[in-house]
Amino acid sequence: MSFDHSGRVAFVTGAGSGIGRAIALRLAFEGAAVAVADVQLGGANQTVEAIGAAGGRAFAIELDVRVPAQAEAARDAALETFGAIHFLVNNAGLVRMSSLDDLDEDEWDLVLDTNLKGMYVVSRAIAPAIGDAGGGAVVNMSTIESEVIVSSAGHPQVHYNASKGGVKMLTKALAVELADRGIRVNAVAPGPIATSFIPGGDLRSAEAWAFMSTRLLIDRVGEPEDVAAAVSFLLSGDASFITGTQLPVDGGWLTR
Amino acid sequence: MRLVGKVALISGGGSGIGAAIARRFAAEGAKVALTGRRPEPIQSLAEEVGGLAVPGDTSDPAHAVSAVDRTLQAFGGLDVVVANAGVGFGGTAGDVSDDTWRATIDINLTGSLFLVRAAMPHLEARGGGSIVLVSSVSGFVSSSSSAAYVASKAAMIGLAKSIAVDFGPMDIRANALCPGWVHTPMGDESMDELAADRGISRGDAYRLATAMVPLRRAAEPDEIASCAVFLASDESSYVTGTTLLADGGGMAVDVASVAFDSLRGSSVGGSSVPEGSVWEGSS
Repeated sequence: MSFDHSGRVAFVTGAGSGIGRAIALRLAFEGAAVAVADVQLGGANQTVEAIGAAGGRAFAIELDVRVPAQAEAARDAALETFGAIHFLVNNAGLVRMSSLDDLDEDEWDLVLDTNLKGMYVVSRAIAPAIGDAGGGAVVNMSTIESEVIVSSAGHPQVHYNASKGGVKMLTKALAVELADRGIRVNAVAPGPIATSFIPGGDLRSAEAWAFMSTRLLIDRVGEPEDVAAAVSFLLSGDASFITGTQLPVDGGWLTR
Repeated sequence: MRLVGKVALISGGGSGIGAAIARRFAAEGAKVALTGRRPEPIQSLAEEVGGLAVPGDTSDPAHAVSAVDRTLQAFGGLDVVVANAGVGFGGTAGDVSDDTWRATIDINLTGSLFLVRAAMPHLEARGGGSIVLVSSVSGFVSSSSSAAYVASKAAMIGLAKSIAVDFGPMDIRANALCPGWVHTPMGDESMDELAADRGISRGDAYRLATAMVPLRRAAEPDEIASCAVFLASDESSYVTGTTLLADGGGMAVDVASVAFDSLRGSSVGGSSVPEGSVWEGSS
């Protein structure tokens, strides 16, 4: 591990699985105390157990990021347990796939409310606490699909793309607004990462690889740990002059 | 200690960002070789960090080959190349002289190519590596009367992407690092012009020029060097063909370059940076 986050408290949403769990584990291994928030408490508990088994400090919080009262309660629980919050990782998100003709309002709202409104809800709840702690950093989970439509995947997802495009600009706006409180705000934009994020998708399958290998410059599917490394960097003092940016962690997907 | 066992070659290593990168790389466990036009600064720094100094002209292809060869002789391999040497000259596309244009492109862009080209077979021989081209926010946005500098920095971003595409299969990553204002000799030169215009101190000029940048300050060179460490290290092993902005948020707002110009009193058609004015150093 590379960064020393000891004495810091991180609040990670969607930390019960996938990329969020990898981020929580990494920050904990680097010394941070971690509030592990997830809409599914069971997953959050498993992340906390893994952190505890490695000697780290963490506790699990059930959190639906769409609900302001839950975000405020989760913040208060984190402050009560660890005394402060320095880092926020807005990682919770989901994807659904529907063509425009089949996309009903409920599904649109589910995706936009979780991926975009959730970042506003949780940021509004927690940014003041980070300011009270003397400053810190926020990292928002974006995607390469905030930049391009991966059309050849054959899965229309106008709501997902719109939500993540929103995340990209939300990141810039929060960076500008929160700079004077000593809070840096950045996004990471993963390419294909081997998680169970895509319903029914297996990025390690031969079929998936046949498509992805035509895009990637690095000869492998990304791992959650690749994203966690970038998040840890952006939260650390090594990134003290970086704010308002979106860093692709995409194996070169967006390069050509 | 993220660069243990790695050998890095850094151009323009005598001052500013290059010198900060050399110090950070050495602190992270790398063996470092430095190039620069003036021998004294890089020799002094090489002694400080236990590295190698290879003085020479960045725009000379023979110098790049020699720098790579001497690095291999000294350290037995090469893993990381940081093309950082750079200069800035004033001039618009309407009045820049042939010599100014060529010197800027030769040093900033072609010099980067020469270094990368000389290093590439040796990165391949190690089974991969990382290339960092030190570009600038000027690769995205233009300040006034900086045609050659802006063109060279934008081209360095393209060069990084080209390297990433062609050498990805050899496990060689390439990225462009794009700083905003940094407290360097080159930054000082620019601020001294603003300071002279305004009758203010250099420090006040930095404050004026960064007044609309969200972090309200210029970077210290070490804050850019820490970004170079990330890009050089295996921490960024899935990051290639992209740009890492380290600009205090300047590119997120609509004043990334305007702040300096408006304060400097530039206008369209005006050339507030005198032809031949030199900002020398790194980036």
